[in-house]
Amino acid sequence: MKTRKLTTLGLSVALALILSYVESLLPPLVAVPGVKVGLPNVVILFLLYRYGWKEAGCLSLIRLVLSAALFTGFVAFFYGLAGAILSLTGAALLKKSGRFSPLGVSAAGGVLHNLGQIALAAFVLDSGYIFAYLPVLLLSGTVAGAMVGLLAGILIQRTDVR
Amino acid sequence: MNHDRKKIAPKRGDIVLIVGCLLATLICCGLWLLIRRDGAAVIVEQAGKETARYALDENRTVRIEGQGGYNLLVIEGGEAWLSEADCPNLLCVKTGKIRYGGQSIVCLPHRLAVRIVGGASALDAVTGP
Repeated sequence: MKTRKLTTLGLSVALALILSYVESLLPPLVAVPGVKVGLPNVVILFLLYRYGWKEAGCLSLIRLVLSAALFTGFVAFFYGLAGAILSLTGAALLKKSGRFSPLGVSAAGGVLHNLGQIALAAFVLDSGYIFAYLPVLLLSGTVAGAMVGLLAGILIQRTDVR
Repeated sequence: MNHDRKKIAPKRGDIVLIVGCLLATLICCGLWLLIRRDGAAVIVEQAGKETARYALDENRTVRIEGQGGYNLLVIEGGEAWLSEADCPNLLCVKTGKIRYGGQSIVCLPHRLAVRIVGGASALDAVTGP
């Protein structure tokens, strides 16, 4: 059982990292930084459901460090971290409440992720930025999060081996 | 198996949550339409550092040379936009015209950001010119 978990976690890191890379290859849809699908979150959400928030949090942090070192860079790391802390905390709490499926948990996670990033952006840039891009980031967070949630839901359902 | 499917299926809470997020989007959209103000100046940032600042009410065309290429900035009639660039995806050109404080155009390949400041919001009206 322990070996199985170790293997799953190792594979998850590799998978999340590859998905980060795949996503960095996709052309951005709109020129607003922060609007993206968040494919690696499928794996993070999967771990959140399969194991728990600690495992999901570790994966999220490791992925951030690695993808920052390999693809995105130093600044993106802090934006990613701000988003990840907020979204994982929110997602873990919502999941614990038992009233939501991965779909809702992930949609809220997507929104919280973007809120975390825009809060940091407002701190670094200026406050006007918040008001101009909050609607875009809220919408993209909801839609992207819901898509990730649907995907992860299917994955969680189909890999139910214990 | 059936039991698990039930556990994963979308719940009423999901719909409430998603509708709530979409409502929040609409409210923020309305708020932005209410508080947005014409900007005063255009700031050019390259690699995170401000390299130029132009008044928004003076018409001009500037060629911005930067890492990896150029972008052509046009300021006309209180609006700013990038009319031309040699970046691969031309998202900066497609972003279109901006005129309100807080709006920005980003060209990631050239690490360029063009932002409008001044009169952004109630907050900036207190501190800004």
